[in-house]
Amino acid sequence: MIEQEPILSLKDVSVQYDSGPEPVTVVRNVFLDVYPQEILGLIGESGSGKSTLAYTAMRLLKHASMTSGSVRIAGRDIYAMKHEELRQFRWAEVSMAFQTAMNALNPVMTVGEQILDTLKSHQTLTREEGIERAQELLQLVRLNPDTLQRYPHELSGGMRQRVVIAISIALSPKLVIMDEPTTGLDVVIQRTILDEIVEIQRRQHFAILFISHDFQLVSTLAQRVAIMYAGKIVEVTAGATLHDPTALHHPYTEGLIRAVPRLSDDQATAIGIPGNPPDPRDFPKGCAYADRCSLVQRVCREQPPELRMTGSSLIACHVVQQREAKQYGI
Amino acid sequence: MTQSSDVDQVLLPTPRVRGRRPSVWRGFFGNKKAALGFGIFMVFVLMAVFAPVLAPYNPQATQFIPFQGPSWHHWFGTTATGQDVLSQLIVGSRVSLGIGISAGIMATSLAIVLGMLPAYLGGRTDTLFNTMTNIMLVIPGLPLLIVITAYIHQTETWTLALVMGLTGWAWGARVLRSQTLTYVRRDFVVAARLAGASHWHILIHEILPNMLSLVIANLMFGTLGAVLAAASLQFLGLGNPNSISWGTMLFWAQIGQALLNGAWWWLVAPGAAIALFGASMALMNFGVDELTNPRLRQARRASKQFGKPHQGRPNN
Amino acid sequence: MKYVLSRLGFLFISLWAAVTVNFVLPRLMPGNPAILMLGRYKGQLTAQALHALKLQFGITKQPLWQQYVIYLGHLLHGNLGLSLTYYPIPVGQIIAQSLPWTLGLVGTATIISMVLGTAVGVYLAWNHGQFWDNLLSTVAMFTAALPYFWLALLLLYFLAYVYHWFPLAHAYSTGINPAWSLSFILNVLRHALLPALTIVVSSLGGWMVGMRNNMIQTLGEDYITFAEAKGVKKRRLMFQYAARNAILPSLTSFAMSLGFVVGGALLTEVVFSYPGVGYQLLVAVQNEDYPLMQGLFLVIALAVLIANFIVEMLYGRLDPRTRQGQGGAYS
Repeated sequence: MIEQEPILSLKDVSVQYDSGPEPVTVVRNVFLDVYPQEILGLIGESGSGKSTLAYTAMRLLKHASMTSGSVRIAGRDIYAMKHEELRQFRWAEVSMAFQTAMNALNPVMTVGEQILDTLKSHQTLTREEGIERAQELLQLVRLNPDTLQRYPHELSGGMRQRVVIAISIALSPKLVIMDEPTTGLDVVIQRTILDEIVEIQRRQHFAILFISHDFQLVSTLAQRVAIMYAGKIVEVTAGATLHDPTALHHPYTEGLIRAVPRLSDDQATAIGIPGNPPDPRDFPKGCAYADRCSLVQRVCREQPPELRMTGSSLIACHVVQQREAKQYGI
Repeated sequence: MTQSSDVDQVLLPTPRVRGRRPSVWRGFFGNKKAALGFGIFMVFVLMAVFAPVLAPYNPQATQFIPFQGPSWHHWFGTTATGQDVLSQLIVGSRVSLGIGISAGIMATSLAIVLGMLPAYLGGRTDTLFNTMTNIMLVIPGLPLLIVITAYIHQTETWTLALVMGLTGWAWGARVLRSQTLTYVRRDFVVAARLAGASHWHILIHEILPNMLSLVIANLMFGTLGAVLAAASLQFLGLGNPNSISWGTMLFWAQIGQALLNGAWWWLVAPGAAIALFGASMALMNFGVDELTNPRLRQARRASKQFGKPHQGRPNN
Repeated sequence: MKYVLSRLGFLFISLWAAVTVNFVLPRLMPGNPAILMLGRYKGQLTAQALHALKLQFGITKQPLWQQYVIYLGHLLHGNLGLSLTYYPIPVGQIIAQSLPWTLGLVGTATIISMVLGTAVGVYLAWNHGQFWDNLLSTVAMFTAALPYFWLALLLLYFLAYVYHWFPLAHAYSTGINPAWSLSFILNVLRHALLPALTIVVSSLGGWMVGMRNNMIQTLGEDYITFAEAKGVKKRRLMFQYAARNAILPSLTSFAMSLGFVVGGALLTEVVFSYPGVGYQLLVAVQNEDYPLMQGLFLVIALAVLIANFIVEMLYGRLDPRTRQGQGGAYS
């Protein structure tokens, strides 16, 4: 898998918001590759910059700008494209299912018109062909074909989310970015939709960048998981290692694992991580997690750690990297 | 299970302390439009307060040559009966501003009560008052005012203010009502109610402070509307034509055939004063709008300082 | 359907309110003002007309509810009484003569202003924060605060009196006879141009800024970003996705603005001696011709209420959420 060309490649990406009284950097020097056909989970709490990263990858930032780095999709630098080129390229190669399906659909247009718009913006096809394709898409997400004539407000939250997913796979893209696609839905519907997503993904062979703050969900769904903290990627690891007690992890990841309650215990106990992420306006010189870390050492406060292959994962932590080095006597 | 593996929830054992928002006032004066509007407004207020000192002549005195154009002695010329237009303008600001501001305050107070209270109480009271507000909104205001003042006959200044205050609350009531409705179910209001706070306490201490910007906007719109309406009525001769105000100046200018005599200054001066005062209200309101509605101001910074082609606005 | 019925219901309730206000006002005033009026006109009226007027304005011993029933009965038969100024011409006839002028002038000017203002607002929002947006939204602050009649006076003075580009007053030249001929129609248009310009200039800013702000709000919605992402072309994104949604609150605020716009427009008629209902209203007020004044007020209110109803129906067509009776303009 590693030998392949990545479908999405973020290199040294930093993003700052310009709308407040002073610019605020929310994504810091992120490197991340997504390979064809894989599901890569991106975990982080609100404000960690994960959604911003998704918008950056789609070149959809508003009131924010990429201050460094590059974004390549299928080998092409999307920030070098002209607008019309970008418009044609975007949904065909990479699409995005929005976090708030509630608001992602135009309230005054029928579902059918909104799907047709997607198709017609990229292909030349007759209305009949378009409707036929739209019905296929709806069937794929298990919606009744007559949903075409319905307006968004007539649909339930789950149905709306399915419509958004249908639109996102309309042009058979190579990568679908899913930004918390099940937030706001009840647990049962969440599960059903996730199963459907996985099933469609297996059939259509696209890659998914799955963004969520639900640690357990991502760790079971994704083949690889990237963990984001305060605008930085602190670890990239195989999903399976999150369930392997012997695997090495970033202390933040360890904290997340400990925070998941275990059914096997007599009592479901979850241990939180004390403290808060740093204020992005007053970002520490060293490791952003240092203030909350139980392993913190002096070097952590002086120098920012970098992502390095540590054990079987990429981890950005001085302490874990040192331990690993000692263990193997390097 | 799924809920407790939510990263956000496990990571927030200690309450997040939000930095206090920068002072509203600093924001207000930092906004160019609002500051300009406030500046103009203050000039008018000071003019009204110090009118007797500022006016160069007695505004009623008919001692000068009629229809003189603007000159060093008479900045804004003289009227058909030889009165000094500038003096009338300065002294007239008292009545015009007085009517406008007091009617604005009255209408806003009524809007607060008639908009918030029924919305908070809900049920039939709300339906009833909401219908009443909507009716009041669609009945054309100025014709109604014309009819009322025609019955009253040469309406005195304070009656005029009263009538406009009593008829001008509907717009505000409607806006405040819909805003109140969004607060009634919020946690902090429910909590206050469970804690046994009285209705008035909740309305005044919990809900009203959140709507301050709307109330201010309403006050400014109400004042602007009242200034314009009062001028219209006075222009039609429905006020007391012997009082001095910007509207009665226009009335006399029309009666004295200012335009046919080429005395444009007689008309331009009071009209421009009304427009300028009104604009100051509109500017301040626009500023408050931009402050409370981040979307209205956001793009500017982005496009100015970090103007890369791909940011700012969609697809263009 | 439910939506249409509820709006229709509101139309009738507000109509009833306007009718009742008309009935109550003279009776509410300290010292019935109609007594004074009758004193002035007494000598010129027949006994029958005098009696009718007394009944119409509550100078009678009949109980109030009876007066009210009689009043409503007269209205239903279109009987608005006799004008005193133009005695013995019925009020209804004067309204029939003046209303077409007002509908033509104020109606057309308002529609032009609304369409133009909305279109410019869309453009400004799309180019938010740039030169034209900054310039025009500031200029609009000033035009919104202009008294209509004052602008009318200035335009009249400079464009008609000093430069003679436009006629000074009236709806058509006094020398010619009304007829469906080209020259007459052109004459009417020439007379309407300046008053219409006044109305458009003073109301344009309001529509423009309103639409601009709604549109900026809408451009921040997720469905715009989503549509942009899925490749919808600029023009379609701007109109079908953004403007189509942004116009809804604009239509809702139509109700709030229309009464104001019409009030101002009526004063424009006064300045231009334009023979519409606004001008007649002033004549009625100056002559203390209360029957005429009442009739004119009713017809103005009726026109505004119906215009409002039409806009609500339009809203219902544009917003699918109202078709189910949920949400909508006045929820």
